Amino acid sequence: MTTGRLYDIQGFSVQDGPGIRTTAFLKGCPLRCPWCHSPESQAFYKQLSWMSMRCLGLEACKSRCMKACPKNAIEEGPLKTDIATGAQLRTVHVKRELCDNCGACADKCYVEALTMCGKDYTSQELVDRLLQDKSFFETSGGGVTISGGEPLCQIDFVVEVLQGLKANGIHTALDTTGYAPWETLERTIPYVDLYLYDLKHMDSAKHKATVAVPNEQIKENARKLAEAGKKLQVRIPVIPMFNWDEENIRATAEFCAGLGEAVQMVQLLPYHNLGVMKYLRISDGKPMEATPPSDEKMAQLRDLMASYGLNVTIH
Amino acid sequence: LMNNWEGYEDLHQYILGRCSHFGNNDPEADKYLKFVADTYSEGITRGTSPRNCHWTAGCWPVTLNVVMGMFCEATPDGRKKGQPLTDGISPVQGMDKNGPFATINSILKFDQANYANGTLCNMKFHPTALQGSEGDKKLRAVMETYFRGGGMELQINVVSADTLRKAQETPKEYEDLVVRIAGFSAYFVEVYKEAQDDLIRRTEMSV
Repeated sequence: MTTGRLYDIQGFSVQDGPGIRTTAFLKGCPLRCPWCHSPESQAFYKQLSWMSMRCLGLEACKSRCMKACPKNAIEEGPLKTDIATGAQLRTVHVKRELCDNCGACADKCYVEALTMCGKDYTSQELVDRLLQDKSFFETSGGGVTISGGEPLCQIDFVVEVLQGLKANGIHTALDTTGYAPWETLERTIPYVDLYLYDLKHMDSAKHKATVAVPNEQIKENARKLAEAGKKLQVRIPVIPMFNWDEENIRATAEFCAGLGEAVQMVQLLPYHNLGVMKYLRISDGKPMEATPPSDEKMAQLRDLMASYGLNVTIH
Repeated sequence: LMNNWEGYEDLHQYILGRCSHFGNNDPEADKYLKFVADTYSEGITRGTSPRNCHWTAGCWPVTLNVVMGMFCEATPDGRKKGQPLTDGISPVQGMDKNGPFATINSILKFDQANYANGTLCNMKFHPTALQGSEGDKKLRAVMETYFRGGGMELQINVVSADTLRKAQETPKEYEDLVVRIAGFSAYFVEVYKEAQDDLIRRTEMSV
């Protein structure tokens, strides 16, 4: 029985495959997409997460977190205003260069302003947890989506979980970048009903320069999945200045059309900046922000791709 | 409790943050719902009224949970004196932290057939949770699951807490904003402030 690491389990997922689903988000990813809206999904280790909005102020809890830290990594931080009373509260600042993510402070923070991001489950524990939502899957034609991070990085765990779900008749979807050896991806084939497959950029050099890995393997794996008769729902994050130019969109459309009937749908996911504040929860820095593409632009791209005979939706 | 938690801040914070509360599909917390709900309904239905019929149990305070709370001392779950009680059979405002599935699974842990006078279950959805062509199908699936599981009544609010806050600040601009509070639709700006705050604090189930 293997153990895996997740950073979240989300019920009532309505955009991760058909029906209403519960999505299990695995922690750890080999890519480093600058637009990632869940930065806590990237590192494989457990991370200290800090949310100013929940902090009661050092006076209210008598600085429990600062006292608990064995590395003196927590210092007094900025003031914030309490919405209810208007009072000024002193919050904290985590000195990331000293913090080793030991979790001692999170243990003492009862309001969950400081929490550890990353929880371990055995495959049986996760299957049991996912089966609790079974009645919702039945009424909605939904199921479970395994996502992340990159689930293929925890392949032994993922296969055991998928087997457990299939044994209980649950519809399964796997959300993946496709960046793994074929032998790894192949192991999921008997247990996955639908692959949610990300395509970031068709040009490998540009792909590598921006998300840290090349794309040959990703494209090849998609072809092999199609040949194996599996169903794909291709997801394209539309990122301004990176991949939204006509040349790349056409190349992507051609690639998808070339996979034939395997591609059931292409989902265009417009860049959004709702995840930017999440970077501040686990570090001191924010990523570059862009302006989300306009509705008109998204409609243009959808029509362009649809002209290749594809079923295209905008997220 | 008689001190309204003053002087016991550590314990208060611990109970609010660390202890398991009803609404998260945790059997440890939810078993108390069943105990309380069954005890109450059994006691009520045993009694007879002046017209020589049995009383029926119900659990639908409408907005009286706010009024009842005003007269109630602090309670062991961390609630402070004077704060609203929970509305109907929904979990305490903000204590269901694991999403709508967990909330519903928790609520379905007692037999609502014992409550012939009705129950009230309020759920709030963020508009984005029900977007798209499949949005209404999904809402329907939630409702079906709830009723199949033994649920009796479900009140769905689709509005964001931000909208409600804005409506509190500038009511003139939100005079047409309608919310459903139990059996009646109300114009949010006309509802008194404590009930407005209450509605805002009820958990927002969003994507």
